[in-house]
Amino acid sequence: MKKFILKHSDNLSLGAVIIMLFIGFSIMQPNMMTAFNIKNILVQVSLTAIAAAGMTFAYTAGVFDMSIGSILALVSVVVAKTATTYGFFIALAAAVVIAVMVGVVNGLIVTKLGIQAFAATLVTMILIRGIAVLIANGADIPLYSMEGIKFISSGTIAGIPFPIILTVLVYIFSYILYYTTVFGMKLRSVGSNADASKISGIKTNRMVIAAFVLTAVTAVLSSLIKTAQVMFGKSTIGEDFALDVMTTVILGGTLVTGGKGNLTGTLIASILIAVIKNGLNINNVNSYYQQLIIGIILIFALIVNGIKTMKNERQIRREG
Amino acid sequence: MKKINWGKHVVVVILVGFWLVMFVMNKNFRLGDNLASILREAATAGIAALGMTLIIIMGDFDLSIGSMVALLGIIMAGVMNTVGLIPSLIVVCVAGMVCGLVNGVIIAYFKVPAFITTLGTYYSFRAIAYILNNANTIMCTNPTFLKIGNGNIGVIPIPFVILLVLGIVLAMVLNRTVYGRNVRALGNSEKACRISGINTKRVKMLAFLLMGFCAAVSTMIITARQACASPDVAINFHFEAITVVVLGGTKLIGGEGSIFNTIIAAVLYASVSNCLNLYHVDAKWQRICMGLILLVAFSFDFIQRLVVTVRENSQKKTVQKV
Amino acid sequence: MESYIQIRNIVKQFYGVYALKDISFNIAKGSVHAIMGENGAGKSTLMKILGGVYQADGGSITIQGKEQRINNVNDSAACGISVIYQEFNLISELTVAENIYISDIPRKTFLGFVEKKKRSANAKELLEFLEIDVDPDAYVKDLTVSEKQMVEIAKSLSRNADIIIMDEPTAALNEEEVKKLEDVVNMLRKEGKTILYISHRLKEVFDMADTVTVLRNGEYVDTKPIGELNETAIIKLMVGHEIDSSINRQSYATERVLLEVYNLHLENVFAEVSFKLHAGEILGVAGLMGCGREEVLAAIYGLFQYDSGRVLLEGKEVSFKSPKDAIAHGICFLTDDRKDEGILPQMSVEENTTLISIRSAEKKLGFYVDPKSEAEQLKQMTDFMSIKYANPKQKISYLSGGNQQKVLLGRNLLLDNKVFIMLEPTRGIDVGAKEEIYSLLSQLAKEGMGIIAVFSDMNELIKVCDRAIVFCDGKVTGGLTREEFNKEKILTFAAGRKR
Repeated sequence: MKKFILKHSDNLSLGAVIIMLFIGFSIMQPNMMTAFNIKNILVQVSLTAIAAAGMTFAYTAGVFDMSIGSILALVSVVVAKTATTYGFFIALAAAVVIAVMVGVVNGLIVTKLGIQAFAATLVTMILIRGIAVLIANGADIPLYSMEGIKFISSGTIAGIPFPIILTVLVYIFSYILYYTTVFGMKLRSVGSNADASKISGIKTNRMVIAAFVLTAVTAVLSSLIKTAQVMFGKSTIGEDFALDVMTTVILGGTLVTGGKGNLTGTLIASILIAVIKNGLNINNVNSYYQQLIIGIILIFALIVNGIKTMKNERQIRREG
Repeated sequence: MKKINWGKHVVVVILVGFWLVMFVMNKNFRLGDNLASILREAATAGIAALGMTLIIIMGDFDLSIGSMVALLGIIMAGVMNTVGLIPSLIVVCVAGMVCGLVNGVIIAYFKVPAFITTLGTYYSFRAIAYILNNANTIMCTNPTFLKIGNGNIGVIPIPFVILLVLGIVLAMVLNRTVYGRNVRALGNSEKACRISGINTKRVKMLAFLLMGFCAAVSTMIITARQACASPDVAINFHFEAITVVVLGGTKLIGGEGSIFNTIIAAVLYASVSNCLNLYHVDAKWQRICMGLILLVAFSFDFIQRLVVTVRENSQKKTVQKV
Repeated sequence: MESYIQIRNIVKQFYGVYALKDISFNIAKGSVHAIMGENGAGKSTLMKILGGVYQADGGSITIQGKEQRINNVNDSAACGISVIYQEFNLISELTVAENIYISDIPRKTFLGFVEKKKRSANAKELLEFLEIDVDPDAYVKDLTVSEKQMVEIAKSLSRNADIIIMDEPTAALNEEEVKKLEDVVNMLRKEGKTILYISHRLKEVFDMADTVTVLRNGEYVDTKPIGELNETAIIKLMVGHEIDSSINRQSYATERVLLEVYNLHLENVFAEVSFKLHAGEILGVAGLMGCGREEVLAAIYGLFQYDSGRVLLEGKEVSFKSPKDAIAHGICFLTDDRKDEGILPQMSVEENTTLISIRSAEKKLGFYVDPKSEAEQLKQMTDFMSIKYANPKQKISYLSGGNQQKVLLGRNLLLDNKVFIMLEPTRGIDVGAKEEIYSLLSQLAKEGMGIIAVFSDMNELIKVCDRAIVFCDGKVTGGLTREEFNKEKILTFAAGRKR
């Protein structure tokens, strides 16, 4: 039992912070503890949590994706346009196709052109946003009241909102993929040491492309939820999305250097951020203060992490 | 006279080529007013790019400059109406350096990676900008101030002059001073610097402070041109600045780079944007164009390596494979 | 009688420069075959060709009578070849078992799920066969260098490699670990495996190898059974001329004490460390890996702080808070990792040399670097050490290892210094350049400098130093004067206490 606590101390402490915050906010504003509000929080969580799961895979492979915000917009616009003419399922198919294509393109730019992830996804971010704006032609595309789409954000299964179920499914799938499959191991290998992986016969390029595809697919799922929430295809959403998601993943403890992804941490971090935002909202705090606080928390968390790492390094040096 | 390494200054060739083509093809491009407007545009991203060049050579990043500009704009405009023009300019420079210091201290002393730190300040600075004035825009009406952004010295726009002056100063710092050498050395190998007794923390802090200063100067120009300060300004500014730096040939991993190239790249960037406007290219397409330019800029490295491989393959043909 | 492996007329060029010219020799089955030669002789290139990382431009490789086309890493593995590189190809964030079974993961169901228990059990079996005590579920990043090497060997075995190639396997091992490796190599030999390895260490070659092949400057020199060779003969083959390895170095040590260290203590790293350095003396520091000697020296230099103890420089007590302090007092430092901690790869030879000295040089207007004085500084060092470069503005990464090391030495020598601390001054440098550095050290000692040099190669230490201190587990366990120099004694002190 002690070993378990030690091994997962980071995640557990994050979890403890959430509980404390939640209690704190609830004392200030009892409305927070209602089932209605908790459901709200969890739905909010799902938006970033799902995309963050994919991003965790990207970080594990040693890359990251700044273009997911633009993917959000592109999918929103495309789905809106196709759903009204061709129906729900074609729209869904189109969304998946886009996800795969974007992921592959990102992956190819990084692997074949040898451009770093930062630069590559910077480019695709701008290009994809441009395409989304083009397609939307300056207006939001209404979705009328397509039942299928509405279900994605407002529907419930056994009383639980669909987004939450989707999040759970995504995370279960991600855990399985990460911890038990050959794919997961290869991904970690590539993120930790790409050269050695290549020499050991792992097709590193394919792994990186796969990581980008995963990131894009989860971004698409998030996009579907968001689009369903507003019932419009908008080319302007997601301007800050990539940074929000990356903040979540980093806060969750995934190593920025690759090889070690922390899915649990990511999930907990998404919940943490959502709880903070919700708590501040309910207490009528200016939404700009929320951004400020998130920014400060990110830095603070990393300073603490940095101090911990420095202490660790001294330990390692002493043990020879 | 130092031998010029043309390989390093590809962007100059591209700029000259581009201008030649445009001169021939479009009579409006050649107009004095138009050229002046290009130079004016170039200064906006260019000045920030100067500071960014320093940071990237040092091996770091700064994602927060857009938010810095927003915050500094609000501070400057807010103060201008009470204390007057010159003091407010001084205040904004100091404020810029303070912002830069915030980044610098967290990165150098607390060892938080630059990407993440400036991600945090990216959120925080802009949030403060919104909070400070309740998300309102502040108008600036001081005519002398507006001249900074819109005026000329002779035929050359003032912002561009500022760009040149600042560029020359930074270039001299980078290439001719011990500090500049330390910045480049830091981008090469931080450990080697520490062992050689260089105070790496101070070097980093100073670099971010300079970046803050450049952001402040950028703010002056942007605010003067818009005649108002708003917390929504400069949303993708860091991307523009990084684009210009990379377009100039400076590599993102750091260790080497050129201020001169950055200035040329800023002019090139503004030229392309201007050209798109002249041809009435829709705003929607412009974004895509800019993205493509960025792609090309980032591919320079790849193209270089491609050329080298092709050369190597042609040499290989002399030896037979069994 | 046909040989097991026949290497015929292998040629390899890089950018028009020949790395290997017409290499041909045989390797017998089940033998331990050493490949020797100076840096740049082509040994690594040959190994990489066998390993499929490079493709030969010409020539053939025949294994057991069949000619093999090795175009990539997979082809090489298919021939039964497995290469263990000096830097290892292990993934630090994965476990031992995951690393051993990283390619061709045999324990998986068709859906892609890994049978972790089976994999760990199989890994444990291999590790036990090699008689090493490592947990198959431990993360590779937590292992020692020697343990990692064993994991690499286990990896080769898991793929049923018949030919195991090792690049400088003993470079980072202490004497105990080298012995372990020798035992394992003998085990592998008994299993019928053929071992090829690159080494610089003459003594180990005599202990481990059956046959030696020498390459020089990309050309094949000779292959002989170990029985027909001695150290001088091998060196002669490698270098092309005889190097008198028994020069009796003159000692320039004086009685004047430059540096005194008393009871230096850093919790869990080193304790009760005391020694003296005299002017004109070359003090060797010996010890096994992890003994704490590098930490002591780095702490004295100010790279980090020690808990307690005193350091006296020329009689005056000093305590350096940072390297800058130490440099100001006339102490300089050379690291053992020139690539990551020494050179500034994108900067010029000139800039690398003057990195420290430029700060105190004459400056125009008080802060501009004066190109003339910079050039003068470079010239001073170039003349002093015969550094070879095409032009001073060229990037230092184009220089050879030996010349880079000279630049780093020059960087420090441009300062007015009394004490020079060097960690492995001749690492990764060929025999010819090594000799130049030994003479340089003598020269510096003659001029009155005090030198503290860490050597892992005891032969070097004995050859170059006037005196030696030995570390073990963070303590100074012994000191020896020139007359007392004796490898067994040094080893005894170094192994002072078992962990």
